[in-house]
Amino acid sequence: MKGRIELILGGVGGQGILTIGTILGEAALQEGLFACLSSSYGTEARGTFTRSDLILSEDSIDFIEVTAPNVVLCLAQTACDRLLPVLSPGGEILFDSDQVTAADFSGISSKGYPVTSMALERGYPRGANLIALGLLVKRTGAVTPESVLSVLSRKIASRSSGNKEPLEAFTAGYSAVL
Amino acid sequence: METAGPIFASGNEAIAEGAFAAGALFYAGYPITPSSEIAEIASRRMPGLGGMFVQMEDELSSMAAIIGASLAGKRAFTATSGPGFSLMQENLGMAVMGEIPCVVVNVQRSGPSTGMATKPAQGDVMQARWGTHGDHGIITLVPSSVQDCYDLTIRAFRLSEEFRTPVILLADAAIGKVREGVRYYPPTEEEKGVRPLPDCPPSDYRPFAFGGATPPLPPFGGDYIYRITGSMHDERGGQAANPGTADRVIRHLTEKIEGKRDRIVSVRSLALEDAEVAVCSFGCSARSSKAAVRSARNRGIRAGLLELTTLWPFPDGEVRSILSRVKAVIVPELNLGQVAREVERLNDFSCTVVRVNRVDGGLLKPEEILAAIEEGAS
Repeated sequence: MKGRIELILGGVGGQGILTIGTILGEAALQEGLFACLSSSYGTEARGTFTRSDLILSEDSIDFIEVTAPNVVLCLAQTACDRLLPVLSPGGEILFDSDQVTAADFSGISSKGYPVTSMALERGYPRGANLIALGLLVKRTGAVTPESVLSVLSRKIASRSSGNKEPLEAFTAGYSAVL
Repeated sequence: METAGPIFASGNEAIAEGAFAAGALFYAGYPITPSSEIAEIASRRMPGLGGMFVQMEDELSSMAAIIGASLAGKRAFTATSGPGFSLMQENLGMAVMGEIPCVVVNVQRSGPSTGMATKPAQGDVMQARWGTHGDHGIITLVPSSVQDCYDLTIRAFRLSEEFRTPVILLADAAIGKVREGVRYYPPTEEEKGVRPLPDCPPSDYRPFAFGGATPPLPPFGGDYIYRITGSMHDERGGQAANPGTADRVIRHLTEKIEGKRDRIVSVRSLALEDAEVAVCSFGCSARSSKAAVRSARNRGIRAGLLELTTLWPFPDGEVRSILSRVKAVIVPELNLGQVAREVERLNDFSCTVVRVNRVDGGLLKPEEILAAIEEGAS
C-alpha cells in the first residue's frame, strides 16, 4: 500500500469488529506500515453499536481517529444508520446485505455482500467478521492477503484447536470480490 | 517481554508490560473501566514473574497494599480511573508523607463521579497535583502514544525510587485503549534505577533525613527498624508535631521534587524554532494538536507544538520560553482549562493564551485546534 488509508469498521458488540481491526493492524505492522486502531463502544458488552477506526499509513499517525474514511464497513443496520452520515466524499460503504436491509445509498458508492449467509453456508457463523475482513482487504488493497493469512496462522497456532476455519473464511471473503 | 519488531498493542497493555520491565513485582487493584486491562494482564503475568497480584475490595485498600509492598522492598503499582483515583487520595498522602515509592496509573475517563465510563477526558490534572491534602510535591507523567505508555511507565518507577515518592502516570481512555505499534525492550539498569540501601549502622539510620540526597529505604523486616507514620515526624520517624519539624518536613516534601525539576521535567518540541503560534498540549490532545500543527504548516502558518510529557512539576521554564517569543499559545485539553490556567500563571509576556476545550466525551478534532491557531496567527 502507498500513502494512507482510513477505515471505519461498524457493527454491534460481539461481532468481532475489534478483532478484525486488530488483525488488519498487525498485518500492516508486518508490512512496515504504521497502524492505529481506536474504538468507541458503550458500557454494555454485547449487542449495541460499536465502531473501530483504523488508520494505516506509510507515515506516522498523529490524530488517532478517522476523519475521511476511504471505506466504511457496516455489519449491522444500526452501524449503517450511524455511519452513513460520516462517509466522506469519494468514500465507499461496504456492507452485509443480510443485516443492512434499509438504507438509502443513492449518490453513495456502496457494495453489499451476503456476509451472514456466506458464514452460515460454511457452517461457521462466528466467522462472518473474517469473511468481511477478506472483502475489505480485497476491495481496499490496504494490506496483502498473505500478511493477513500469516497473522491469522499465528493466532491459530497459539490456540489448542488449531482449526483452519478462520483462514478459509478470510479467503472466501477475499475471493467473493471479483 | 522483549519484541524484535513493533507489536500491535494497546496503551493499557504497554503500561502493564512497562511495569514488568521496570521490575514491578506487586500489583494490587480494583479493576475499573477504562483501565481494567492493566489489572487483567497483571493477574496473568505476575505469578510467572515471581510477583503477586491481589484484587482488593476497593481502591483505598489497593493503595494501602502497594504502600505495604513497597516498604517490603518490592516495586509496586496499581491502576485505576477517576472514581478509584478519588478513593486513593487518602493513602496517596500516606505515601507522600512516608516517602514511599510507588506508581499509580490513572487512565482518565469523563467525570465527575462515575461520569461516562468509556469516554476519554483529561479532567484529573489538578487532582493529580492536589488531590491529596496538604502541601507536597508530586510527579505526574503523561503518555500520548502506546510507546510512551511503555517508556513512561519505566520512567515512573525510576523516578519514584529516585525521589522516594508516589508517581502518577496520567493516561487517558483514548491512549489507554488505542492500539499502535510498540517496541518492548529490556530497560538498562540506569533506566530502571535502584532504591538505595543504607550503609550506616542500623542505629544511625534516619529514614527521613532532611535535605541532601534522598535517604535510602531498606525493606521492612531487616536489621533497620524504623517507623512510618502519616503524622508529623522527625528524621527517625518518631512523632514530632512541633512547629520547627512541621515546617522542615513540609518544605522538604515540596522541595525534594520542585527543586529537582531539571531531573524530572520532560517535554517534546515540534517545529517550535521559528514558530509564531505555539500549541501547548498533552496526552491524547497532543495527538490532535500535532495533526493541527502540521496542517497549519501546510497552510504557511508558522505553528509549533510543545508537548508536556511531565505535568507535575509543571514545566514552568519551557512554557515561559514559548510565551516569551510567540504571538499566541493555544492550549487544547479535554477539560475546561486546567493546564491553560497554569500557562496563564506564567504569562508575564502579554502573550495571547487561547483555550480549546472539549468535555463531551469526544476527542478534540485537529480542525478545532487549527481554527484557534489561525486565529492566534492573525
